[in-house]
Amino acid sequence: MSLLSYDFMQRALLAALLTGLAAPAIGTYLVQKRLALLGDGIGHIALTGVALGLLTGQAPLVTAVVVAVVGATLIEVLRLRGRASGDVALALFFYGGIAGGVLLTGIAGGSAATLNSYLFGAITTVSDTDLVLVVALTVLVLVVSVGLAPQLFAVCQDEEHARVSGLPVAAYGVLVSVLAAVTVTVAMRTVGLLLVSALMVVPVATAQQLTRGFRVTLAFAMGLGVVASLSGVWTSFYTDTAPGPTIVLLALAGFAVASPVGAVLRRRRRVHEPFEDLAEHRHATMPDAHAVAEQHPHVHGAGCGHPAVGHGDHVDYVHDGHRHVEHDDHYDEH
Amino acid sequence: MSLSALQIADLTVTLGGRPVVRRVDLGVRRGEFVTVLGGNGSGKSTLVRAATGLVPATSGTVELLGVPLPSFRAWERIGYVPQRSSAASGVPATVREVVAAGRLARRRPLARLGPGDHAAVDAALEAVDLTDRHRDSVAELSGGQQQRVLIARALATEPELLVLDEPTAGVDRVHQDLLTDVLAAHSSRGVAIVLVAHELGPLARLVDRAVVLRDGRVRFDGTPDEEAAAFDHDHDHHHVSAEWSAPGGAGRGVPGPSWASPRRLDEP
Repeated sequence: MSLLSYDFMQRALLAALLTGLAAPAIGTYLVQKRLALLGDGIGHIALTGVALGLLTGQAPLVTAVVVAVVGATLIEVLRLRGRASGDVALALFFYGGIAGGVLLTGIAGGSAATLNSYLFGAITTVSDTDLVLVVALTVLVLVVSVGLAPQLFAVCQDEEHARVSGLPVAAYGVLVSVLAAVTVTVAMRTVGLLLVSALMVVPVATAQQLTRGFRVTLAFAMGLGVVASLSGVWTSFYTDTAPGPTIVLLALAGFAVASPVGAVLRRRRRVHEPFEDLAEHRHATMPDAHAVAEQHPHVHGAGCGHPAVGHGDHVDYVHDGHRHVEHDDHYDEH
Repeated sequence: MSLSALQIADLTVTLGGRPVVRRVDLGVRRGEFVTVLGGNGSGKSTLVRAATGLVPATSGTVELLGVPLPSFRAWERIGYVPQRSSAASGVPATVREVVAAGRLARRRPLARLGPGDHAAVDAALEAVDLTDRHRDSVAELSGGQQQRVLIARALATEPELLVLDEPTAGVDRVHQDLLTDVLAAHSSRGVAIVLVAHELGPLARLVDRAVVLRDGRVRFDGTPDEEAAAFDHDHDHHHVSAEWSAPGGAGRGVPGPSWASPRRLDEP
């Protein structure tokens, strides 16, 4: 029996696809601002929103979006005003959110079990109404995080320079926080509140093991998020495991593979990086700069095993920590 | 068109209840190269941060290119190099991506980089000698190279007023000379330059006027030669270390630059 023949699995896969795209897209900016745990904090704030929904009979998804957006905005305002550093502001709301959520759920007559489907997601029970909301919010997140990438990049990279460029820094900062809140609440139905932060951060951490640029990292993280989400849902269907944790563990497995590969790539890149072509070398103004490598029976060349690295108009061979360059019948130290 | 690039009048800046800049007047004409000197905590950084609107003025006025700061919108005419030790952030970014941020004041949201933007970024990278590193991650560069990335970002804006807050910290002599040539070229094209510095190094030859701050007040405003004469010290030693500036500290009795001591100054 194929998993696509079930309606609920089709909806689950679509929801997973959208969450996998949106969470790393906005997560990239959070990691850039060094607020990687903001998603987790907002998740806990959203818990109060869920409880408020249960208490008042409103749809928990809607009240969660509202409360999370308000909380995320307040965190950013506290941070921008300099009243509290980003991580302290986050901690205050984090604890307030979880306490409020548990308290209100108790008053509403619910129990921990009621909250469970929000905490850990219930992707296989996603309804058509849920799906419409998820699609709409994901489109919003993607349009902003990709469309305004140059602006958001500048604001998250260097707030002061962005301000002197005339960018509305506070507005963009709040926008990133609000989109993070929206993404968290959207992901509530898929990976759940407790694990969504992982999907915002882990693909970004994995991507940046292998990338050097911002746009590449953003795109690669979104790709990894989609792969982890879809394969997580697929795996959980066949192994009968909970989808949320499966998605997160697969994302983490990706990091475990990428991290050593990235270390090797970075090392290789560093070895082959051209040496700086300083003016002293070019004009040979320093007569004592001519140092001859002693005892050199080995002939450097293509495939000799020593990395050939560009240095101005010639090539240095890196040999036991020395830089050798051919000069008449001997090798010079550069 | 106003001939004034920057006009600061009777400016006081209070940070956390403490007056850091006190009743400062400073005018910079177009094409003029002014350096703001002073020891740690003299208020020189706060002065240029207030001039660019990064910190609010407690009293007094600032005009950028003839327009009062509160109504100034033409940020594409201002280039700014903040005092930072690193150009890196939590996510990798290439040298080119960071420098391209210098074009944002000229771009509408959702607009792509045009040929003019690319040309300006290329020119700025060339000016700081980082063209061959443009695809590398800024985090992989040395501190001095990262500083040059931040300078290139300000140059990419193609500004009429360039404000640099200690841009040569950690930059080696070869590239300080290079930066001197770049700023000289901009200065001769009519760009006004305000340079906050600890130590001028090779930049000293470009400076039209030196302004020395001490304890938030202007203690000197004149040509570098007058400044050298007034403070009776060799011009190549424009640095004030923290020890020298701290009265009664470990450096007691050690002769330092004279603006660090009250003698010769018009104390109130």
